[in-house]
Amino acid sequence: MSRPFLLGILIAFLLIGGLVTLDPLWLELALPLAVYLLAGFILFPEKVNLAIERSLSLERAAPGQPVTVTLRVTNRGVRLRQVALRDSLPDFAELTDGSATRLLDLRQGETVEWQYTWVGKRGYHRFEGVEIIAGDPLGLISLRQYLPTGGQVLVLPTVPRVRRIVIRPRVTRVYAGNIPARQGGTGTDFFGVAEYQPGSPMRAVNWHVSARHQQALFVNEYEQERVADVGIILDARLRANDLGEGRSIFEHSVLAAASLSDAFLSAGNRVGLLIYGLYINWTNPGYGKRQRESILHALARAVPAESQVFSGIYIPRRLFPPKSQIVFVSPLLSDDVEPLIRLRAADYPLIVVSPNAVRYEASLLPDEPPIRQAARVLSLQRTISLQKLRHAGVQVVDWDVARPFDQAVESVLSRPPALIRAIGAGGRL
Amino acid sequence: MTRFLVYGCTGIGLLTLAAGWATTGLWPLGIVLLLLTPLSLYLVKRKFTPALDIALALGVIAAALGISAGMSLPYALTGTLTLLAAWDLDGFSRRLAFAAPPDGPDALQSRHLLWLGMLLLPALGISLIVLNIRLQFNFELVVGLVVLVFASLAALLGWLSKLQR
Repeated sequence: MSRPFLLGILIAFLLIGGLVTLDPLWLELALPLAVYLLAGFILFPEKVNLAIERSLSLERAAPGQPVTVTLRVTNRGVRLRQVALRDSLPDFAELTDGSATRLLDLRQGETVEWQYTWVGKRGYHRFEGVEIIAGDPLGLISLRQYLPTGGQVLVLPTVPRVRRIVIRPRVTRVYAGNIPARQGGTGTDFFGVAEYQPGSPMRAVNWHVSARHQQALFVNEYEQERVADVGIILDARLRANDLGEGRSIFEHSVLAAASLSDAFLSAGNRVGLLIYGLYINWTNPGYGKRQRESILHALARAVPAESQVFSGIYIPRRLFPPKSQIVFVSPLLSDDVEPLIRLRAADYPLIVVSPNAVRYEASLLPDEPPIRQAARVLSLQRTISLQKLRHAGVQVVDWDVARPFDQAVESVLSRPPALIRAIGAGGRL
Repeated sequence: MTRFLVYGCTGIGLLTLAAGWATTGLWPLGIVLLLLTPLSLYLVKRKFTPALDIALALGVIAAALGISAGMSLPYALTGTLTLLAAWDLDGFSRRLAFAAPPDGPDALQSRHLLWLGMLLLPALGISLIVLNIRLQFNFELVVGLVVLVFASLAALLGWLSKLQR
């Protein structure tokens, strides 16, 4: 019930009661309330005319980097007593200095500048406006307004540098890169010998092979190195990432996706990102710094969410060129294994980077026998799932998030997949 | 300071009315008000928003009925005024939560208390002046007052709905 309405009802009750009982003392009681209500009406500013400008010290910040918001409030109307202002602070932000709310006494034409500083984790925030609550000095009648002010802040995820990730997709693009293309030509690694053709450089002639043939010359061929298409899929399903009681492993998945996309783009590859959660968020494939920025923007906005449609894994293959390299970043659920094996069977070279949710959750819980036992059972289930993937030819990085990501990934992905299979590495890290 | 004043005014208001009812000889109603005092204070402490709306409404009704039952006006008036002050200060304390250190919360509190005092003291004065004026109800005055009450309520509702838009 609004405050003036309550007072109005009470005054009416006293007046009508006084008339019914014919007792003037009831009217006496109504007088203070009526004076109070009248004062509220008289002192209420009929029109609130405020102008607010916002400026931000940064629009693109790293996690933990302070962002200072400056608001300049000008009163273009009548004097306002006790005008409350509230700016919308991002959910992921923590205030370090100043205040996001003010209670001001603004004279006509007065300007007040107001600053506050916050630090935040990864995320995106668009400042919609400042909430204004103005009214009479008694707060009896208040007018709530929302004054739109622009501005946005993007807190980008941390990107640990991974020096080298070796991938061997079957199909590469036409541009020169550092992925062996399984085709002879110019390069550094020996690929084979071919019969001499006019125009072949003389220094490429393989004299040992040519000496075995009387009428022919043979030249060495080197394996061409090109760039490839890489599709990164980030699993943002709530049920895969949420560990209960406000804990989530999603930030680690984002970090892994950011780091991998950076490494692939630095190597000159064409990289696309698909975030798979409430809906499918697709960043078109591209090259270079601009694409890095696009991917970081998409990752900054990513939030884990649940959708019945995408509760299981469904990978839209049409988004990825045939036989291109796919990297799937997910804590993995046991029923995700089959779709991934089917994807591998469709001839997509597949890398699964899986932050180990079992170990992460166990590290947050008290070290008690039942918890240890449960963690052991879940670890065994996870090991079996990962083993199935490895048997299907999927490269698996089982990342214990207590270890730095670059170390974990380099120990598995810095060597060719064939060599990994031969030496039996790539197990749990 | 404002919160303490809210507790103080709520307690004084309800206890005054309880004492007023006790003087009329209707002890049970006085005891009910006495029991309502800690309950109201508890709800105010828990920041239950409508607690003081209810306390003010109950206080005004109790004061009005008490007058009809023979309660002396100073009890009723003191109870109503202190509950009105508590109700006002509760709203102010909620607005004060917006204040940042540069706004000077202490100065804001002092200024608001001054405003409230400037308002309630004249209100009390007018009440006391009117107390000494013998008012006789005749038919014309009753009809005039009824029309005034309904017209004021209609105007208030119209104004509030316009404000909402």
